[in-house]
Amino acid sequence: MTGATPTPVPTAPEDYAIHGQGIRVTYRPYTSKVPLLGKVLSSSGPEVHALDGVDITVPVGTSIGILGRNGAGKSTLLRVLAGTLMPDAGRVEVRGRISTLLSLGSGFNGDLTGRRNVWLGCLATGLSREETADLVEPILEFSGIGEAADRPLNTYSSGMVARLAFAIGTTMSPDILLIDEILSVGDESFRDKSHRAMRDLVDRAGNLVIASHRLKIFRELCEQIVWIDRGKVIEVGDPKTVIKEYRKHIKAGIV
Amino acid sequence: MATRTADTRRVSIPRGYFRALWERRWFIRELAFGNIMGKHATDMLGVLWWVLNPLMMTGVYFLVFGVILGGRRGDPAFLAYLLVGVFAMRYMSGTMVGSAKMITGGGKLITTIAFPRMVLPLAAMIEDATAFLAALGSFYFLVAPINSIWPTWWLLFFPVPFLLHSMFVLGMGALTARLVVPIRDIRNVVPHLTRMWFYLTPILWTLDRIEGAATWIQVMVKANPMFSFLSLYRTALMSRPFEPVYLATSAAWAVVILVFGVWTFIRHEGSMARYL
Repeated sequence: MTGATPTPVPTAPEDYAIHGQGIRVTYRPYTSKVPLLGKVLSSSGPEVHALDGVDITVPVGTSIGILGRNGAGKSTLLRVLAGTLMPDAGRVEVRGRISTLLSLGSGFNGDLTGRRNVWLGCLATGLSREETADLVEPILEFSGIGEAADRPLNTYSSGMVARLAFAIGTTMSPDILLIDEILSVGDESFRDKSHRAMRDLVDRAGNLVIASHRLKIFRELCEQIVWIDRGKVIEVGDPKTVIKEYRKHIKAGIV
Repeated sequence: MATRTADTRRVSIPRGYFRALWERRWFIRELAFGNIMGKHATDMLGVLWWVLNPLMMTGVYFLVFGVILGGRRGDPAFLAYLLVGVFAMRYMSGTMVGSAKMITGGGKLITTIAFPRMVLPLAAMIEDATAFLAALGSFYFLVAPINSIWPTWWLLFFPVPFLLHSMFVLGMGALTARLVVPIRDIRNVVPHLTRMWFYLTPILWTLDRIEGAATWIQVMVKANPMFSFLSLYRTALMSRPFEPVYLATSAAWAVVILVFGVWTFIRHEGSMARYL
């Protein structure tokens, strides 16, 4: 068993885009949080340690893959990095503008048209009305959904929704792009297009954080892999080494 | 480059929260009016239902409580009296239900994008405030011919109760939204609570009904925050005598509920995503 490998902490603070230490997230079934009965009920619900003291450092201009089985804590970690989930313990420091493609597709309002959803997505991240107005057309064009832009989102296929979400995430040219298991969506040509967009992002010193259990993507896009299991960091290193270890463990049925 | 530090759980309102909220003003607007469009876009009469819905509802109340049960004898302008109450109450219950829906329905938006969550109850409030004002637009068309009530200079006083009531409504919306995250059952309770509140407030009945009732009942009826707001609304819209005491109680309720609701909401919004 490798145990938690501590991520080297950069010497100068400018060196990293994301720096998290001792991140701990515990889920409780929501019924146990009735304010008045909290004391009585909190003992009844089992606690789930989604993240159990995770350290992660993303140096500026690198792309990191988060590897792990289903339920290992990948999505929770991305949510903490995105700032949508406050950890129970630990610190997260993020430098730069974040854009997220977490669990794609459902962050939208189905009654509204694709175009209005693009507006919503951009405004939600804090872009001004003018900035958003400039971005809407490029986003729609990148997504390649064509005339469907003015149809309600409910009428879209899941692939179209994913394209739209991906287009929003990358066209905003964020400093850090967080991606949660979406790269399997879209057809061949769109996949090429999206990979190119992600490489461009890294080329202009942007950061990519991808969570997945699909190994191929890591080899193509990531310089470093953080392997987590049951909320703990198992190993950090270059894709080749970590994936080899991961495979070994999967085969042996250890993790 | 901006530095964002997410320290452990929040005990007070973080610095810069309200500035971040202000930066989301266009998002709030889009959420509020996007909802309005989405909700009625498929109905033939569209946005007209904003006005028609509360009017039809008032029609039913007027028939049952005013005519059949004789409630209209309690006030010389019973229809106007009723309309003000129904509209104002709908504004509040609509925002409470809407805030809860924004949170439970906006699940993915909340787990995906970091933004100050007060955006959601605010958008719900603005949506219902717009519906309230739109419905009030029909007020004099109805009550002028029926109750011969016309706008007077007192109408200029309307922004005062509207502002205080809106503060109160936003506070109630934030409170509901804060509670609905850990306790989903709240969604089922809120409509009954607001309905009970509606029946206990002098809207379908007039104050003469409780004349001679026990003192505690009289005190309870007048301590009801909605009673204070309605008194001011009726001054503004129906030129009823202005009673300064209700201005004071309205302001007190507005400030207390707004501050408490928003404070407790913001304190707990960091843990919101883990329950959605």
